[in-house]
Amino acid sequence: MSSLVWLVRKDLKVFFADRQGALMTVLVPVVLASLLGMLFAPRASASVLHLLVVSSDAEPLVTKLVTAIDASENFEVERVSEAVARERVAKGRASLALILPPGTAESLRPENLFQGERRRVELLYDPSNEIEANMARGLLIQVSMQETMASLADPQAMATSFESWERRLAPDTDPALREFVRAGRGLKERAKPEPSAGKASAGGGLSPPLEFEKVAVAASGGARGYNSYAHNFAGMLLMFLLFAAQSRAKALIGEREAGTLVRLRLTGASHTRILLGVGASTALIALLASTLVYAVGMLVFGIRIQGPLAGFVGVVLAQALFVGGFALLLAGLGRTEEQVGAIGPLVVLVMCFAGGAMFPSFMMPSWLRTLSLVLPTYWATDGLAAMTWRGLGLSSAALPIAFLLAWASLSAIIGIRRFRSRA
Amino acid sequence: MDGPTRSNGGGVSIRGLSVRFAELWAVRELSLEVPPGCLFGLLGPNGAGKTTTLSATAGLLEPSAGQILVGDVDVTQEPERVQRMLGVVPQSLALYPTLTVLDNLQLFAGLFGVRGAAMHERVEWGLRLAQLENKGRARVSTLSGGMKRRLNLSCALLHDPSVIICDEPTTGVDPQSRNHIFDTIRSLHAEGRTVVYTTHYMEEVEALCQRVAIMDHGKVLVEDELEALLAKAGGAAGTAFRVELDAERSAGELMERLRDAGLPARVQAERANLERVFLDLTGRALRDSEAPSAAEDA
Repeated sequence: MSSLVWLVRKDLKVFFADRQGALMTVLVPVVLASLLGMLFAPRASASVLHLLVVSSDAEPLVTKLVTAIDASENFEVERVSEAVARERVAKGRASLALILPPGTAESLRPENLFQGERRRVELLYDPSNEIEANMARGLLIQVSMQETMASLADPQAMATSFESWERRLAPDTDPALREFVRAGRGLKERAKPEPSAGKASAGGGLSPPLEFEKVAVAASGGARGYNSYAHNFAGMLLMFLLFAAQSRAKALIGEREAGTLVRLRLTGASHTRILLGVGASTALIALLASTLVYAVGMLVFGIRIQGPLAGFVGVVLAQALFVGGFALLLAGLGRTEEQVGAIGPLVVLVMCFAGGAMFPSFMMPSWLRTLSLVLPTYWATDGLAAMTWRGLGLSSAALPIAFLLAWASLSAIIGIRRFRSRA
Repeated sequence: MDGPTRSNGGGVSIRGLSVRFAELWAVRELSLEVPPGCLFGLLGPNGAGKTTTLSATAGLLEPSAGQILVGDVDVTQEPERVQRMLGVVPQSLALYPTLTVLDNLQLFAGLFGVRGAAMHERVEWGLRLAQLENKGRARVSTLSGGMKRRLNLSCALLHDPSVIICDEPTTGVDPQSRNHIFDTIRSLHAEGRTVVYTTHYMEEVEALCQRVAIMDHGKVLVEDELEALLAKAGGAAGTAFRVELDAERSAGELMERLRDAGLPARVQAERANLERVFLDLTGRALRDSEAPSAAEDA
């Protein structure tokens, strides 16, 4: 057997001797590919947009429109008051809210398809999800057009609309348009018209009955307060802090194998104290890295802390403590450096993916968005967004801080217990 | 603490020590007495229970039964106090390779509670002891094997312990560094410290130790003064003579004549040495796979 074959054989044996590591080599790409595939692949149940709807108009046409929006496969409607809608969008708890003001029903009458007088309705959106808002706007235009056009299939309703339109025509109206409206009034005597018949109008063609005006909502002042770098800095910072925690976990296991951990214990330091030292030093490194990264973000990319400074510091501190606890958790989960090297990326990438640190959450299926509410990565990015570009109050930092501290404690306890049992 | 506190003369007394790992007794009812101020050799093949005994003595393992006293302090009652009295030189190079020599010395001195002016003094002492005065700012990873071994020794002694445990401190070093380590140990012993020394090199124990215990299968087989042990072994092997033959006489002829005369003998005289004693007691079979990893001796 040639030396090359022996060398290859040796490396294969070494690779498969660490079964967990070998398994992770397959598991990590499978899990990540599945998640990304879920994100970008077309699926039967497309990503449903959660839409808050505010409507003070009890007219049947408005009710019909809201029902149609809810019935479409793209939206999931929740009726709320305007104050609630504005607050939830401002806090990032909802991405979209449609405000249907009084008089909306009037705009939904079929004749408005031809008149070109469109009512403006506000589509509130979270400025960090502008893509979602654009998508929603297009879909809402489609639904509103479909609903109004459907009225054309009802000759009685159509004739009534043309009668109403004719009454409102100004004396100097283009004779061609006046003739068209008159002809439309007589349509009820004929067969059902094709909806496309209206496109032959001389009044400038069909136009949507409602104009959905996107309005960015944030406590810091709408779209002007939003800085896309703020969102990305938070997500990427967190991801790489977690990778740094993975390195610390590997180093800790390396110390166990090298004997330095035993030597530290010989100085009278308990296992728990040594491990807490590792957690604390990791947290300090995370804190330092966060400070430097945000300093660059502020100086170069214009990120601003628009919430209270204490809230921002609290979230950054809680995040750093979580990173310290996470290092201990990984050190407890892996028996060898190789295992931590395999487990770490899987856990970090999945948590960052599901927590919205990598991609906007609206791209994810609803079950994953629900699941993300228990993830520290979600609360870290949410807390930092609240204290930077959202410009929310101190109370909006409290829940993220509480979640992160709970995760930090839980991770540290589990990690220390498991690590001690293997020491 | 502001500086090292050493009380010379503390010995180690192990009484009925038993340590069990799952189904395996790594050490069973072991008793050992290391007199205060003694340079004591602890020998045994792999898996004999040496490291388990030393780990329990250092408070790193909870004994299943028995008592260990360092000086008059019970290890299970006051492990941290015992750890301050002990200086354990581990077999592995338990240093931080990416840190400098000074960083390592300061770290361990600090962890042992050395503070203030005493810190500077002890770190300087540690540098001198390791003969690394001009390498203070060098990263440990750049040092030679012998330098690392000397630093490994220094780091264990910064708090001026009264009892020193050396677990194979000369593994993989060159003769010069080995001699330096020997000189250091002799010097520390001469200052009144108790030293427990384990090694696989019998000549090291012969060169250093006053008293020796040989253990196997978790028990002490023999414990005595080195000279007494060698004398017993020499007696058992018979008296040796040096015989000079004429050039035309062969050793085979001499053996034949002695046998014919009813006097069977070995031709080459051989002084009894500790290695012979050790192998007579523990046998020659390899011991690589007898103990679980947790209890395995290095």
